[in-house]
Amino acid sequence: MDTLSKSAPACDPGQRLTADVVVIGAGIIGASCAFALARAGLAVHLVERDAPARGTSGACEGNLVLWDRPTSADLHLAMWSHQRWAELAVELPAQTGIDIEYDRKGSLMIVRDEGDVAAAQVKCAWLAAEGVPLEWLDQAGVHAAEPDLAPDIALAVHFPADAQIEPRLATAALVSAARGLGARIHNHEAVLSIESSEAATMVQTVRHRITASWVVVAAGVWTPDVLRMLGVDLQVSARKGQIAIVAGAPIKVHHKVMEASYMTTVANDETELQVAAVVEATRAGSILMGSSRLLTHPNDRRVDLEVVNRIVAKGVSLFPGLASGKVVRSYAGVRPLSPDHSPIIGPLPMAPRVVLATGHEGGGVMMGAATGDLVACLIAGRAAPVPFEPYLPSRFFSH
Amino acid sequence: MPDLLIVGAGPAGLSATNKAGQLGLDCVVVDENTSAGGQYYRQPPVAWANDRPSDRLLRGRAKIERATAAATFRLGCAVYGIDAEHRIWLDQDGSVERVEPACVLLATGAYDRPVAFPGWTLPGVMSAGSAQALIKSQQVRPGARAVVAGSGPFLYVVALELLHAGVHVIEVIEAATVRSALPFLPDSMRYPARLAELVGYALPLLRAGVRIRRGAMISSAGGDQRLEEVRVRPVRSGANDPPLERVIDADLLCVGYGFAASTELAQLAGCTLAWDRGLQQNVPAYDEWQATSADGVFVAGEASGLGGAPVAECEGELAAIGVARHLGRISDAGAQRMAEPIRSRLRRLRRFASLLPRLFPAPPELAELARPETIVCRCQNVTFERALEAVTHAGATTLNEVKTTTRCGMGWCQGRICGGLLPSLLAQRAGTGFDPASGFTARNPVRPVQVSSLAAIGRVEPSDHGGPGPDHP
Ligand SMILES: Cc1cc2nc3c(=O)[nH]c(=O)nc-3n(C[C@H](O)[C@H](O)[C@H](O)COP(=O)(O)OP(=O)(O)OC[C@H]3O[C@@H](n4cnc5c(N)ncnc54)[C@H](O)[C@@H]3O)c2cc1C
Ligand SMILES: Cc1cc2nc3c(=O)[nH]c(=O)nc-3n(C[C@H](O)[C@H](O)[C@H](O)COP(=O)(O)OP(=O)(O)OC[C@H]3O[C@@H](n4cnc5c(N)ncnc54)[C@H](O)[C@@H]3O)c2cc1C
Repeated sequence: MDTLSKSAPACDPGQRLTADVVVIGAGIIGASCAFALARAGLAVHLVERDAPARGTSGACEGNLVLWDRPTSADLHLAMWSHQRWAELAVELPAQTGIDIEYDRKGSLMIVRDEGDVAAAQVKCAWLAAEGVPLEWLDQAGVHAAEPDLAPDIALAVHFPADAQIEPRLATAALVSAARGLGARIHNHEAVLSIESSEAATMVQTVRHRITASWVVVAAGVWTPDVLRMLGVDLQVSARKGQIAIVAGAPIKVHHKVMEASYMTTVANDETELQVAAVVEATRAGSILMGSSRLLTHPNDRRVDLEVVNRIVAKGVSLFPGLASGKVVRSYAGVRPLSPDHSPIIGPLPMAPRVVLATGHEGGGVMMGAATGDLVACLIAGRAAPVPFEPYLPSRFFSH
Repeated sequence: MPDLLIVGAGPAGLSATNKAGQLGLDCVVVDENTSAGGQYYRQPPVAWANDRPSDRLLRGRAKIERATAAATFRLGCAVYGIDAEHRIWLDQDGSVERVEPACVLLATGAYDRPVAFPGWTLPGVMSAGSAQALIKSQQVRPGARAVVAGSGPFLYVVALELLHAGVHVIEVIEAATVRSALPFLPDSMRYPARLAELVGYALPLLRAGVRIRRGAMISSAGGDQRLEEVRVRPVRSGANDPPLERVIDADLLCVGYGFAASTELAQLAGCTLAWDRGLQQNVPAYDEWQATSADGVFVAGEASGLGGAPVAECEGELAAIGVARHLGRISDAGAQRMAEPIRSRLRRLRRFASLLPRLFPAPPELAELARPETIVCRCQNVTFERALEAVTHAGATTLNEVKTTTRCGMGWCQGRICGGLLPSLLAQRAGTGFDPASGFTARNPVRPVQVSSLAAIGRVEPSDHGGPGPDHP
């Protein structure tokens, strides 16, 4: 591992290296790409300016939930990813010794407002037609599933296949597995510039000059900064989300429990603060409460305590017993949001050896496993279980 | 909103309050303790009031009385958050509120630096400061047979307090030796009064038959369910021999190998930090007026470096003058005139204070004690082995990276305990690569806060937050 020094003189291009692929960014997306590419037999260098999962992937939850996906294209990628995570939950610990804490706990969509019922029905009909297992729960069913929910909640949808992983550990396991397959990991090594031609690309980091056939840009909300190195302008916005962690509340939360309005906050373009209740328990016994969405700048990881108040109020309305617990911590992360809310995966039209993998907003963990595979298929020239077209960056560039 | 909010009613905060009162500043003081005084002037609960209060207690009481007349005091009130615009969130018995004072003084003091050794999480093992707090504020006798281990004058203070509380103090295990202190003795001799104070702590202990061992340190603690025996060893051992251990039967072990400054609020307020050699940690940097790099944020006392109560008091006064000057209540020349005598006292006091960590250094050998199975994060039950692996296998170079894969620092104490012990431990045990100056990123809230209190103010009337619906179907 390269952890020699955190900086090198800017004038010294450093050691020259060659690779098949350089992956920029070791969040869940870059780690998954590095792993899938290494498994495809390619020589991979994973370059991260900090350390794995120190960006958004270290400040999120690990829900593998299908029903909040806004479009068919997202859903198909998510369903493939769902299946891949179930496989990786076995493979990764065997290869790396890291338990990614996969738990198929199922999720509940709480339909509380009259106004949400019709939308939920339409959504569920669509999901069922797409092959997502679900069942409607009446008042008795809801409270059998989650006895500590507010008594007035009378309608919910149960998604038994939904699961959860620990995203930090999953990122660490993917990086470790990639390394086991021969990938080189460069931590604390920022990318400073990129040059791209028809035949090859060159990535200049603070320590190395790496020549490669391909570059994968998985830099999350910082992707626009990296693309600017190539003179390319593409919008990836930063949507901040906060989580509040509660200890000492005398309740049990068995599923991942979310308000139906969560779907709306994911899908819309609101610039003001939006809050929808998301409540889940962790293995360690504490309870996580989300979620918030607010457009901000990429480096804004600051916890706003006023937002915590809003999140907590929503959470308590679902689980009144939370009221007697204490908020012991809070953290914030920034979701990479593409202009049309769907991930951006594929080559840049103006620099076809530069492949993007970003824009997953609130579903990067969910869609992360398949995103790596999709990128490997693209680069290796193989077919994938989903079509490439809906994700291609070309949709944002008029010809 | 007040001119000045002072966080912490210890020596620094109280001196600042009194000076601020003289300067006519409108000032609010908050402290999460239910009585003012901080560590040094810790007051017993009124109901327990001593028959024969000590001189220090009386001085403290007078100081508190003066301060109470000069400002609004809010005791039992924790600052649980602050941001770069110095909006400050207060929690008074579950009632939360946000204040936006013109200036803020962080006088949050320090806490005992934790050390991980086998058995340190057993009931009966506690920091010297916790033992002191139990005796002084709660008038509880923390044990019957005590060993006090650590380095520095604070050990003798606590040993003496234990003795007065009726605890049988068996031994004081002091890491420093006369030999290790020798190079600094000539300098120390220039402060006869302070040295006499140190000796004044040790003499009654010796008279009471307490053994004082120098050049020794804690090795491990053992017992079934709770502390039964303490193992001690020489600080330095022969090149390859395992150190010779001695076993002492005890039900109380008080550990005090130095302090760590409380800097979370300063970090969150956006203050630039600088490395402090004495504390071996990053603390807020400040100028000649105790002003930090964050506009309107001042710092005084142990929160920004070791010094002891007299230093904290001078810094508190300077900070109050600095605030008045900052707010334009006094002229720069006036402020300089007022500050000059305080500064010259402070210079002398700081020179002595800087000798203390050299006379009584925390021995680097403490890092030898943790075994693979020793817990390093109590809240999340993380072993030393797991934290070490994060460095040696996964290549972590900072504490935040260790947190990413181990959950260290994600528990109830918000990383105050493992954040205090891990940096030096990992830097020494993991070999090169780990940054001993790294710490956890501070995050609001810095204190646990009741969910119902937050929910009460977070509730908003349901509004039609339309926005376009899902684009499919
Ligand atoms: C509060 C919250 C909760 C969430 N919950 C969920 C959930 O339950 N399920 C789910 O699926 N998703 C969830 N998400 C979304 C998910 O976290 C993101 O979609 C995902 O982490 C994005 O991963 P990434 O790899 O694209 O970005 P990141 O993890 O940010 O990785 C990008 C990396 O690129 C590096 N980088 C940037 N510039 C450079 C450079 N010049 N040189 C080298 N390296 C560089 C960065 O340091 C960073 O490590 C949540 C998000 C938030 C904020
Ligand atoms: C455990 C301990 C015991 C000590 N005992 C002695 C001793 O016996 N003799 C001696 O000479 N020196 C002692 N010291 C050294 C002593 O700290 C200094 O000499 C002196 O008390 C420093 O004064 P201060 O005002 O900077 O901080 P402190 O006296 O520590 O006062 C800080 C105050 O800030 C409050 N505070 C902190 N954070 C918050 C928050 N977020 N919200 C609200 N309030 C907050 C605390 O409750 C505390 O009252 C001790 C130090 C420690 C850590």
